[in-house]
Amino acid sequence: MSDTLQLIRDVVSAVLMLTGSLLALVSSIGLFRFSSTRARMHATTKPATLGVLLCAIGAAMQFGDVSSVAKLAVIVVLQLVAAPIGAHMLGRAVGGK
Amino acid sequence: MITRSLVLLMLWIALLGELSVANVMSGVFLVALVSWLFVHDEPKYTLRPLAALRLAAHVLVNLVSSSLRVVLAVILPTPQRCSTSIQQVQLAHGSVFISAIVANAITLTPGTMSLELDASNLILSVHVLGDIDEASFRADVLGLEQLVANSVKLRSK
Amino acid sequence: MTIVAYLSLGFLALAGSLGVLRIVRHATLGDRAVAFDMLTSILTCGLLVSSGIAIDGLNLDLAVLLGLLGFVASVTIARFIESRNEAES
Repeated sequence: MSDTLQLIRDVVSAVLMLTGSLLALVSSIGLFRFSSTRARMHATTKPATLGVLLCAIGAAMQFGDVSSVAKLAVIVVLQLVAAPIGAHMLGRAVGGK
Repeated sequence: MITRSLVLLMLWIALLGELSVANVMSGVFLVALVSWLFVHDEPKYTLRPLAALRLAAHVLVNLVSSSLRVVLAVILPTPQRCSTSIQQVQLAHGSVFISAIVANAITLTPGTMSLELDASNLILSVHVLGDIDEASFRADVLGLEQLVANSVKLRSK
Repeated sequence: MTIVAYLSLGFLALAGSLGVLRIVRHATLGDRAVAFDMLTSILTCGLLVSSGIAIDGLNLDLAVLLGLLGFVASVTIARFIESRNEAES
């Protein structure tokens, strides 16, 4: 019984990590596809933040101990709060459409 | 101030990893030092946990749908998906703190990114990616602001 | 799990090289700042994936530091661009 649970856990965390890295790849393709700097900032913040969140959840399912999961929670909260603020300040500084 | 210090202490212990006496003592010392050096005012708002959880769930759902929208615009670009515009919204709750949280959350909603918050008139300038209907966009922003306003409560002295 | 490791780290390596390409080629200063911000997110993803697959918690401190310092770097570049714009006009 615990074997199948472990298998499910491995599969779910593998899918989450793959999806997270695919989102990071799409967001860096978006750096080239969009035509203005502010549009590129859309591509930088949203899929990349979701990608970090999914990778963190996938990694958290693999870890067993509380301290690593706590550090992962800190990483996620930091990314969620800091990415929009960085994008806002860059969007203000850079002109254009 | 107690809540702030407790949150900082929990953050310190989470970063260090284990809940031992040395960690807690060093955390208390550091939190006291930081509070004495940098924190000079009482927080004016308190948190309402249930409404804050609802706001967090709403922001997470918005994050997923906004990423999907950006993925769609990158993989299959059409002129409507990639058009940019700048819109302005007048925020209605009259508080800079709530407007700051709204500006932070707007960046994670589909198609929008906050550019500038005029602090005296509370007008939020938003950069929009893709074609958007102005009335529904305004309603979305004001709805988000109502969710944020429900999550914090003005502390009366 | 090894095939998952190869695939996801391969995607992240490709994303990182695209980001570096954006920094190097024909870009304005704002574009380079945005690409740098993206690179820190990709590096954080890479650290999380590699430490999740190896179940080794040593690299997570690096990821926290990357988040903090990358944010500070982004804001510093933004203020520098703003002050340069003000100095020109």
